[in-house]
Order: sequence, then structure tokens, then C-alpha cells
Amino acid sequence: MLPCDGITRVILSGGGAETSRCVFHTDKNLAAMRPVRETAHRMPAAPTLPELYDAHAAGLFHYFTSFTGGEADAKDLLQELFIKLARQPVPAGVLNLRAWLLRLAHHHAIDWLRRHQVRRRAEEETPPEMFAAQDDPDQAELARRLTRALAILPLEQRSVAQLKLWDGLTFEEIAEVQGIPLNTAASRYRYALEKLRSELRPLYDELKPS
Amino acid sequence: MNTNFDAFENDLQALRRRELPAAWRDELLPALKPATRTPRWLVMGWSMAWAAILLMYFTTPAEPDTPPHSAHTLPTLLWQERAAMIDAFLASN
Repeated sequence: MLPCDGITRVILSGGGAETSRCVFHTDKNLAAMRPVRETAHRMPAAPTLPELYDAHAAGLFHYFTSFTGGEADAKDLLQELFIKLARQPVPAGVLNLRAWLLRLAHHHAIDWLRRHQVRRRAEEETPPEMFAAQDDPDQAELARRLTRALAILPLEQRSVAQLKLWDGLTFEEIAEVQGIPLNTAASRYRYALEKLRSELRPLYDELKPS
Repeated sequence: MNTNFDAFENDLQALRRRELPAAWRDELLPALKPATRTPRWLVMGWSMAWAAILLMYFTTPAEPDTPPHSAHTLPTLLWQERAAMIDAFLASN
């Protein structure tokens, strides 16, 4: 089940069947949040732009970075995406907001690649720091090497690895976001993981002697 | 921690991604103007007003109905009556 950062999974019941969907919450109502059972007729209010930004901007930015390779272009793409969201709010009935936003971001990034024809350059550019500062020096080194290892992956594999590992999407959701067959999503992830293992093995074996 | 992942994947997943600088939020959000939605009651009101206007337009004839004897309007009749009275007066004198 997709982890929900900034959103709460709500169980809908009716007609003997149960379905679930993610409902956005803010810090203000988080404290009052209890295990909720809602009926289907109580639709959540559409999230505002600041709420969308707080919950999803970082993930969207990192996804854009996997396409652009550079921070400045990824920031521009993020800004353009939010301008688009301001003009055309999230439609009612979106069950998986994160996947919906990532699909929008994916199309936006593909358009950007077509416009700029910079795929080769993006893959060669020095990657921006992807991970938060780590207190543990070993973890910091792993994060630094992982950023570099991700940067040398082909775009298709890098973006799938990001969606799987850090956005928590299933292969079905990744396939839907990127408009690719399920098996392609799974194989791209497998290839990405093999390359990451190979790149990080010396350090990883040192950090995690078995 | 995802139970379908092996130890390597779990270790990668455990690394937290960098947060965005707070300044970006302050820079980006104020520049956005959320799309304003017209209130439903206003949309309904406008729709009904336009429907009424169109109904009146199509059900009203282009020109008002003319009476069967349009030449004999009231002033004309009065004039003819008066002329007849004058003629009768003149004839009687």
C-alpha cells in the first residue's frame, strides 16, 4: 500500500465492499486526526497550493532532477508545474494524489526534454545533492556515492528507481505514471538496482560486513 | 521499511532525501494566483437570466400584429366623423 506523506488513507465502505483512498491533511488538523471511517459521500476538500507544496514539492523536485540532472532546471520545472496547478486545480475524484502529481510531472518533464534536446547533457551533468545531510559519516559517504551512482544510470532506470525507493510507488503505479508496461517498469528497476549494487558494493561491504 | 525489499534496498530507502530550501517556498507560492471559481449560485442565476432572454426573444414576433383595418386608426376616424359633421352642417345651411 502506498505510504502517504501528508495524506491519510481513508477507508470507504458501502455496498459490502471497501475501498481506500488518500485524503490530504494539514498540520493543523493532524493533531485531531483519529482513525477515520468515512462514508463515500463525504468528499475531502481539494488541497490548496501551499498544502500541495508542503506535501509533494520535494518529491516532485527530485523526480524532475532525475530528468534534468541540474538543480536550476528542476526548480524551473517545479515552478512551472505549480503554475499549471494554480490554473487547473486537482480534479475531484483523484484517489492517489501523489501518483496523479507524479504523472503530471512526468509529462511535463518529457515535454521539457523534447523542447530542450538536452538528454545527453543531463546525463553528464554533475548531479545536485539528493540526500539530506547525514550525522553518521558512513551514511553521509553512502549518500554521496549513491547520488553519483544514480547520476550515471540511464534516465529511464534512474527515474523508476526514484519512484520505487523514495516515492514508495508500486510497479503498477510507476507503470501508470510513466505510461509504460508493468514488466518494463519492473525490469528497469531491476537493472537500476543491479547497477547501484555494483557501484556501491565496495563501500557497502565495508559498512555492512556480513 | 518495506518487507518486499532486501537489506540493500532498505538501506537505500532509509536515506532521507534533501528538503527544499524554505526560500523557494516563499518565492514560488506568492507568485501563484489560484484559479477563481465562479460561485454556483451566480452561474445558476446567469443561466436562468439568459434562458429567459432567449425564450422571450424566440416567442415574441418580430413586428407587432397589425389590426385588420390599419388605415382606420382612431385619429382618422375622428377626422372623417368631424368632416361628415361639417358636411352635414354645411348642407343644412
